[in-house]
Amino acid sequence: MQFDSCFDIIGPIMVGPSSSHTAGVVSIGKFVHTWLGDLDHVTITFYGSLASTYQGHGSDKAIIGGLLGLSSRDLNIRSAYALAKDRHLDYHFTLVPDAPPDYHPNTVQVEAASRAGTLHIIGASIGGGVAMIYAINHQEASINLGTGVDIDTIVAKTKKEVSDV
Amino acid sequence: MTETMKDIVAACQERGVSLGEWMIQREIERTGGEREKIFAQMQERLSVMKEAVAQGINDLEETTSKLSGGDAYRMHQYNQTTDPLSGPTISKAMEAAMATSESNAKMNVIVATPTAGSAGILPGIMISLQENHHVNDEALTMGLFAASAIGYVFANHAFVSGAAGGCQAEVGSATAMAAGTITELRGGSPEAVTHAVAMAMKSLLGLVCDPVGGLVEVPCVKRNVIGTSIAFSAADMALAGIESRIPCDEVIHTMHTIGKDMPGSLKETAEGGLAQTPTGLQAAQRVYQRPCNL
Ligand code: SF4
Repeated sequence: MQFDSCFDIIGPIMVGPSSSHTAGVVSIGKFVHTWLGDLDHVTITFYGSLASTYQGHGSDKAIIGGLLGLSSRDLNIRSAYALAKDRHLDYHFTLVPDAPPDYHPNTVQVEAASRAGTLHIIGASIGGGVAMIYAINHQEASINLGTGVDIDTIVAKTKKEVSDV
Repeated sequence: MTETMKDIVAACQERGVSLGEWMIQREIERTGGEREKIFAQMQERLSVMKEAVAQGINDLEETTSKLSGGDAYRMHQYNQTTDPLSGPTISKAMEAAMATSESNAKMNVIVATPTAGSAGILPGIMISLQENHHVNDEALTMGLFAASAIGYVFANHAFVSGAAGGCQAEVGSATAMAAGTITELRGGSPEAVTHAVAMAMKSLLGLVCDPVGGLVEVPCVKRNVIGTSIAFSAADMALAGIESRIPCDEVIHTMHTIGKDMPGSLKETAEGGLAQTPTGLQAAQRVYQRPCNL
């Protein structure tokens, strides 16, 4: 069940304009930031609908904002580029409008590096502000980043599972 | 499979509770959290809704795309100075819905209900019920739990995103949630709530998602505004004892089938509908002159 909490339906509290192209995308970025801490370099690939409509929805600002550790309701998302500059985040975007057929139309891939290490994830913003992480370091995963989910807890738990493998 | 509307109504009848109460109890059981905390979390959403409306009504600015903005202010002035044809209840809801959807387009803080594109409808009806029918914050918060119970069925048995199911999944679901919520807040039974939901949804079946330039502005903002009046009409019918001849769950299922059949060009890709009108295309061109800051 992808929508389980009442707050997945009434929520998130978020900076507009799109729950799937803005808020959910922030959560994917924040997942990476929570995992690695402050980032030095990051390469972001937007697939499908995100690649073709990111400008109007501020999805670029959303992912950068999330990668800087902002939450979906933080108004600073609007000035994410300026913030990235202040924090010396080196970012690079790739756009792939024709997503592979088995990808969700709102898929994002992030390759990030910080002092703590590197991380490669594939995730998708599936609507209503809910995001999923489908792969971590090329291993299949299925992590729900719903509205009620505490990203710190989820990241700690996933890290443990990954190191146990 | 998750609960259908029928299951929820049966559970409500068995326990003698409202849909809102059913949903808060479910969340308490699911998370093990305290009732007060969960209630407060929902009440916070109500406050954010009110702030977005208060801000939006006085904001005359246009969005960066120049496709929306300033209309909530115009609607508010009109409502203040004339006797709007749709009466105080609906005209207030229209104004508040517009203020919210315009705020959303300006990247202000809103509450997705169930999505950001359809975020205007619930605040619209909530604020109007408070202003015109003296429904207090506590009751409105329970109303939001009722709305989420309805949205929960839509999200798990159909969809709530334009990209997946067209605008019927966004503005349609949100309007249906609003219709059911009004019915519950005005004392309708859980059964009556499902009829309001079904009647509202039926009138929006097949609605396509065709945003100009892929932006959540045209036709989104005004669809939110008009969604509020559909919600009140459906609720009034249900409160009058009128029933939907097609049961609610079958209507929700129909929304799902129609959404699956809908061509991709009409599902948030801006490749069809209003997005492809000459004016829509021109507007899109202006927007995409923003260089990708990459
Ligand atoms: S037209 Fe599309 S983007 Fe606009 S409100 Fe409807 S579903 Fe959302």
